Amino acid sequence: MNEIFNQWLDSRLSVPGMLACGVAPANMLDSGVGSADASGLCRSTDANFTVSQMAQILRLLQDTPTVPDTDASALKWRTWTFTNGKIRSAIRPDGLLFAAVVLANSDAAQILDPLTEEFLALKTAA
Amino acid sequence: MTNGTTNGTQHQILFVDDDADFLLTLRDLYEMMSERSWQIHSATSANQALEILDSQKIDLVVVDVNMPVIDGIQLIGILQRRHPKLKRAVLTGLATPEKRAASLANGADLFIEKATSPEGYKSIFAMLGELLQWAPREGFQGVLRKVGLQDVIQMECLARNSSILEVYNQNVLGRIYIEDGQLVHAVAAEIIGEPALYRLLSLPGGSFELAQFEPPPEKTLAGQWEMLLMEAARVKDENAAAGKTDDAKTDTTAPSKTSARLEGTLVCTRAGETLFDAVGDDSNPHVAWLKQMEQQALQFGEVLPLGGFDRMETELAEGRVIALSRANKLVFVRVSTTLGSK
Repeated sequence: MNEIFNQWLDSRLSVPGMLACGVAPANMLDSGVGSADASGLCRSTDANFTVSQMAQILRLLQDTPTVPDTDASALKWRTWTFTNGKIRSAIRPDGLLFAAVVLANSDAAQILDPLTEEFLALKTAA
Repeated sequence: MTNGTTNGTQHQILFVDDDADFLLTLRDLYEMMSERSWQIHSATSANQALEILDSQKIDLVVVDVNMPVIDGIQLIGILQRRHPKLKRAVLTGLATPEKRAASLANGADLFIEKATSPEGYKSIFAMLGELLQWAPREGFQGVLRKVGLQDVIQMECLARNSSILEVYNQNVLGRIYIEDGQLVHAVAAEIIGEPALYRLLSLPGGSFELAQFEPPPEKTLAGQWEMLLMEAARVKDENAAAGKTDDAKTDTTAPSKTSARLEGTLVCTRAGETLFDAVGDDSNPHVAWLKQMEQQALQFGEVLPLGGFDRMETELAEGRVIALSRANKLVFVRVSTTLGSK
């Protein structure tokens, strides 16, 4: 399964404006998966957005609270917008969490929705 | 084009820039354009500017941002303390949202990007001329300097006020009419209605003034102001993502594939005090959620150099929830969407 996500992350890393991205189990702390394993599925293209920073972001994303009065299953994805960039996150039904950090006003920022759809639709078994 | 004097006296304007050639050009150009009703003074450093200001009466100071030792933003802050009645403008070759916010927060009345064409310098001349004519508005300017255009609209609407927001930068001059807390009309250059509102709210920089209300020539906006502001934010994001800038080509049309309905809005202070509540019986979970969202965004900001937090959007199967961070307020907006043609 890791190989599928590794290949997918590698292939999407070249989109202009993609600063870092990664995939990790959404319950990585509960499941005992530590930062080393999490950062193994992280990628970075920028010295200011390192693999270990991306792993930290993935860990922080686990604590994102659900919107009040909303069924968690209705969630498609979340986007944090900052002055210089965006963070996109999504969780698959199998519990895998995806996050991407992209530069504001970049090609990567423009394709966040299809990119997330790709992640959600990735087949992990033949 | 002339910007005349008040009561026949010459306006005294001080330009501060470390580029001496630029200062000479500006002096020649604006003294000529004003038909000598402006007397231009020049300083190539903050220290020189302060000496001039201590020795003679100046009406308006125009400061470059990037200067050695004391930069323009620091200088504006010093001037606000030492010369509070002086009108202050920032003129920079590299306008960014951060510089604009810092300049306005430090007391600039205007934030302008340096022009790259003769037409641009005419616009700057007109804007500085306007600034020279502004009468001081006791107790009000200080508030406006520290908040954004959307914040002022929100405050005016929440207070059910009637007013006109005059918005302008180098490329566009526009007006947004608020009547009894509702957005009723917008005009930006040759366009009106929602496209005009979205264009004005998408401007990367500029200035605005709250003017006394007069009935608009026509009413071109309808619907809830929360929805209009949210749609403006969406259009701005889409245009930014598409690399569109503020010009006539900017796509300011609203979406046509889905229809949206506002389900709930809440505005609270960062401390958690609810200012406006339209989310249902119990607003506490929403306030708590907003504060958690902001806390998480701050944590992201500590890990990654992404700049200031603007918003968090949660895309749901049939809707969207947005947490906005604005000045000292947090805003919750929930919208349900349904497929269909508009």
